[in-house]
Amino acid sequence: MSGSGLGTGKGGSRGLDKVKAEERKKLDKNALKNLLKHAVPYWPQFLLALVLVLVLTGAELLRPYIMGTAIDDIAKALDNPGSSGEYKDHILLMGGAFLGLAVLQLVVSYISTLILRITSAKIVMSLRNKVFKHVQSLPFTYFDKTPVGSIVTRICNDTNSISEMYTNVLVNFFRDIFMMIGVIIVMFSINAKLALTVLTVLPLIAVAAIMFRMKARKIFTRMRAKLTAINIFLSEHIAGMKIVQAFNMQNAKKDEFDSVNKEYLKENNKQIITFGIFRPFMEVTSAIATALILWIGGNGILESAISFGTVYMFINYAGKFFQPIMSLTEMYNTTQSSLVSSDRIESMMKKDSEAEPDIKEDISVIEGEIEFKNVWFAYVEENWVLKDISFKVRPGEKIAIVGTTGAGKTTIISLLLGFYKHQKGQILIDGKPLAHISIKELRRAIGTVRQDVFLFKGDIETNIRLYNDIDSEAVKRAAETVNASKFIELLPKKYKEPVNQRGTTLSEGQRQLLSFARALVIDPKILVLDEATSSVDANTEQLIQDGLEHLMEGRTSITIAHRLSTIKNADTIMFLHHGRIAESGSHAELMKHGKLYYELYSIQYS
Amino acid sequence: MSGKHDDHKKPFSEYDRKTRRRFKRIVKNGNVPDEIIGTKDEKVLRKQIQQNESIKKGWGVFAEFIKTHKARYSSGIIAVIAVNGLAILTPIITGEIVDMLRAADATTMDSTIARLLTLCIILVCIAVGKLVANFLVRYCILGASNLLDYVMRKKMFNKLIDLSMNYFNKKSAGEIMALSTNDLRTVRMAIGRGIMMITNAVVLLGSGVIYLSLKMSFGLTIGIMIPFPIMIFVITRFSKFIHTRFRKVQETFSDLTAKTEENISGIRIVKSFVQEDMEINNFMEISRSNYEANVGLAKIMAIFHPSLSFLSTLAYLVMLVLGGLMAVSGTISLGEFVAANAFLGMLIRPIRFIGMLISHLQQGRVSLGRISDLIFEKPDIYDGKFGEVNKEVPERFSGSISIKGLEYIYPNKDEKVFKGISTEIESGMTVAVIGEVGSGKTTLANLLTRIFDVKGKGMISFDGFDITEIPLKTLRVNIGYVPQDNFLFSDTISYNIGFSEEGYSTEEIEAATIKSNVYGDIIEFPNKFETMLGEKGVNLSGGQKQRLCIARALIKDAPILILDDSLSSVDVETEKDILANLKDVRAGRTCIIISHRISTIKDADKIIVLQDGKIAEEGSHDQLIAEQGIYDRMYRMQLIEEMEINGGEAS
Repeated sequence: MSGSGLGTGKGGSRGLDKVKAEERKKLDKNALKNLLKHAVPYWPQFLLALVLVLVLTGAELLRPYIMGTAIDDIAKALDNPGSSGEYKDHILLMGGAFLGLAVLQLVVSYISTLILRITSAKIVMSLRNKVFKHVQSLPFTYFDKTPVGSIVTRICNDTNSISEMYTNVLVNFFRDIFMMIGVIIVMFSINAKLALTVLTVLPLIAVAAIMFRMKARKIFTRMRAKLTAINIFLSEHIAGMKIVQAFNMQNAKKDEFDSVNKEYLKENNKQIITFGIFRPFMEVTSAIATALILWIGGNGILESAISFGTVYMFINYAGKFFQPIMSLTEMYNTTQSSLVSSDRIESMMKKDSEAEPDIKEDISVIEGEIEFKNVWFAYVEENWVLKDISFKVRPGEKIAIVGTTGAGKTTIISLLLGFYKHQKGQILIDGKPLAHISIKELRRAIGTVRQDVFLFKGDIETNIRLYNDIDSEAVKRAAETVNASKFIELLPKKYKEPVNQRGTTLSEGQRQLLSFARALVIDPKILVLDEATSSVDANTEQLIQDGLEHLMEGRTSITIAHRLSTIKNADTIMFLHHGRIAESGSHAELMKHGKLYYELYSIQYS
Repeated sequence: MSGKHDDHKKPFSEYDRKTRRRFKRIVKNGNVPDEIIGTKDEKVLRKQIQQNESIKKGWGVFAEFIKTHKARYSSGIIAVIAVNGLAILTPIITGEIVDMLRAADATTMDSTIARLLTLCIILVCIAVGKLVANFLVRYCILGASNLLDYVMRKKMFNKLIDLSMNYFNKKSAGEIMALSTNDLRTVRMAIGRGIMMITNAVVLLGSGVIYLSLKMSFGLTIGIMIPFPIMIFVITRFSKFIHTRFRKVQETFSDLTAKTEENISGIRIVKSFVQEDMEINNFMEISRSNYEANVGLAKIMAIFHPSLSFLSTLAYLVMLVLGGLMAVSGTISLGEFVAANAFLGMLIRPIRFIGMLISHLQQGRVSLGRISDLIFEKPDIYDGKFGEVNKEVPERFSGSISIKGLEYIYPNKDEKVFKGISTEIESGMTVAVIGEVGSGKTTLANLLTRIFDVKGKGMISFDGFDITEIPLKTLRVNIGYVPQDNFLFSDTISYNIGFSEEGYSTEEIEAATIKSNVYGDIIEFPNKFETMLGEKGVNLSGGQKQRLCIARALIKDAPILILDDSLSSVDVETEKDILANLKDVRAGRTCIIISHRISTIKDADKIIVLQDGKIAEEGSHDQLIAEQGIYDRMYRMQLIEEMEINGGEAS
């Protein structure tokens, strides 16, 4: 498919083409079935649309017939000058029929277009909702592996591409087939000899059309590949512009870009040549058809075997035969890309959801006892991040985890929240294994605050309560408790102040305070603070510290911190080092122990 | 439904007609009247005025292009006239045939048949002639627009490559790429297809009307033409509705994309707070409004095309009834009736394309403005910005650098990154820079290479020459730079290492890789130095990339070497080797090493600790340890990290 492509590899078009071709080949046998299954619930609509479209096809076939008949009437009137009045009436009658037909076409095509477009919009909506819903249930391992952009493309764009199938292909396919069959039937019923004449040229037109389509598609693919090459080049060089400039490579790069750009120009010009020859070539073929009809028909007229109207009709019908061929080849392309999209969505839908426990134990009231028993965990096989971790936190107890970067602190939290499954050992909540507890129930009982606060588009209040059914009063109270209310009250619209995506209008400290309120407002049994204060300036930290005291009251809490000042009061401090618990005990105990924790502490407070 | 928000939206659409007109006048004049200054409209107006100016400049580029390709455009237009002239012949000949056949009787039979054959052959010949003329049209007009596309893109890139980082921080890669693809495409469409369509329509309609009114009655011509203005009205009127509704579809679609993007990026929070079901509901609502927008568009599209078809059918109807009656009463011949009929089909086509043409032209205009913004953008950093460059600057620096009272502030930021930094770096010295994230280490490297320009007070000088009087090229030739993000191009390894306009021999490339300890890795690859990197080639580890980047800087043999956190991903052993190799390289060369890792910089002649925009500590490793300050704390922290416990590591 990629043709003579650029072999230097600077563009990468060939690679992309190949991937596409392979993707096409790999489509499983059921691809078309999968693609069409979305239409099944809407079969009455599609059936109705199909019937209407057939009516339209019929009307389309009638128009040349009426015009042809009128021509014959005129000819007859001219041959019998005495009865011109009768023929005038006849022509008026034809005019009436023509108008009637036009009105019918107007109404019917309005209704059928409406049905098709609305139905396919419905299909996209429900498909999209289904896919989104499924994605929400997928486990973290999926999100770790799949880039955000590609998930968004599945949900938003691939579904669109499927809808093309329903608006432009499904029903129109039948329309075109019927049109072709209809033309043949009508032609033969009018004049078999002329019909045969036309049919001798038709294969030529059909071949020309199909060849043109194929050629055009090839060229479009190549053009797209060259454009992609330009894009790749641009994005790479925008990213590496600093290097280009630091190494004085501007001129060389200008030349490199020029050659990529020229490749595209070349391909564009090739397109001009193909289109400039093929499309008019088809016109020549149809001119040949017209000439043949005129020649044979003309001879027929001279022999009085054929009427003028008939010749007119045939010229028209030959043209109408030619359109469906073009449009069918077009549909082939649409179908191909819809199939690819459908296949992608299908494979996403096949991904397993987050496991819900087989044996559900009802612990909707979680006490807050957490126990890790010899837990081992690795993201990638055998590459242990946590090694033999054991600890127990009683309800209401505060524990802290400290340690150097990459020691596995956050991983402990991820396991607790059921984001990942540990490979060895046991995690117990209120004495019950994690696998027996509903993940959602568990997460509802845990309030988490992370270092990078994620804010949603909305306002302050919705960012605190999220979608939970919590009234404004409770939101305010939570904000007051964690000292967030001070800055909120200063905002022009207070709790209704809009927050944009990612919350860039707020400072880091403010975002952090909001996330504290967010964790508090759900009144969790277990509180998890993951480096929650490390990106906050000293003033805010003091504010947060005060808030934290309130926040932790009567809750089990796990705090991960860099700054030891925030965790000194914890009941137990665990020092995590390279995936193992190296030291554990209260602040006083660890200080007395005089090893890692002591070292760390003395560095920070010397 | 591409989902991409375009701002082809009409300005001032929210105002009433009168204000809109007034504003349009203001934009045309280019002067904002006093009473508007300070209001919220001012900004919108100024933006429009600016856009207008950009478009004007863009037109300048285009006008120049047309001038250079005059011959091409004029032959294109002649070819268009030829195509249409030939096109008109077809119905005329068909009509001729009809009349000839009607007039035939037994005596003229043979000559009629002979003429019929001739005319049929002429019809085919006309088609062939049209093929040739059509080809010329495409070759001349579309070919020229392709060339314009190429020329504009070239201009864009050539400008782009000279722009400073400031521009790239302002504009996302996506935006710039959209200029090269979408915007250029719309301009090309407007200028290629647009010109073709306009000439086509004018020639065809003009000649059609003349022919019809000459050959047939004036009344019939008027009659047939009645639906035309209605069609044009419907098209222009509907285009507006379609445009608004289409925009609504796009907006809801981009809401949908934004929601999905937000949800997936925040999936951790969504799941932690068990918000999945509510997110689904929220998504379904947005999905619903996208559906409703689609239905809105469907309703208008469902009426638009059928009503156009209906109107064109009306023209046929007039033709049928009026023309038919005239033919019956002998005012026109049957052949003329048939010819007029065929004519009509040809005339209706260009009218149906008017809507498309208008939107092509409108979009093309806006895109042209955006493109010319880039083409006429002024680079931020260039030779001669601060007066003439100094001709006495030596080709090769000795490597002494002096920084005096350096201040720097990022555009749009309040706090200064540097609040007065001074240090002397002697030729041949190895200087290390250390400090927390955000302390300005990389900014310092960017200032030294003049990727950024010194904006606040203070100065940097090399060999006593102020950085602003040194030609950019000379400066950068004298600095071997290893940036933090270890960026490599998707090309071969040897291309990436010999990244220079001079070009290096294989031996030189190999030698550089040996020094940076990556030679062994490279020869393990099947294609060795010709191995492709990036998506289509091998994926290197972070450490390998860093070592390649070091080789790329070393090969330049520059008197100054800057390593920006360039050893962070290599393991401690390799680091030791590289540092040992560098020691030889460093001899007689000034070397600035930015790092987090103390092991990397311990042996530097001078260590600079940056904090809060100032040099907090300065001295050798031993001196700084003795000071027991920030550096000492960092050092001890790293000692803990490296400490082995519980009898060592499992892996």
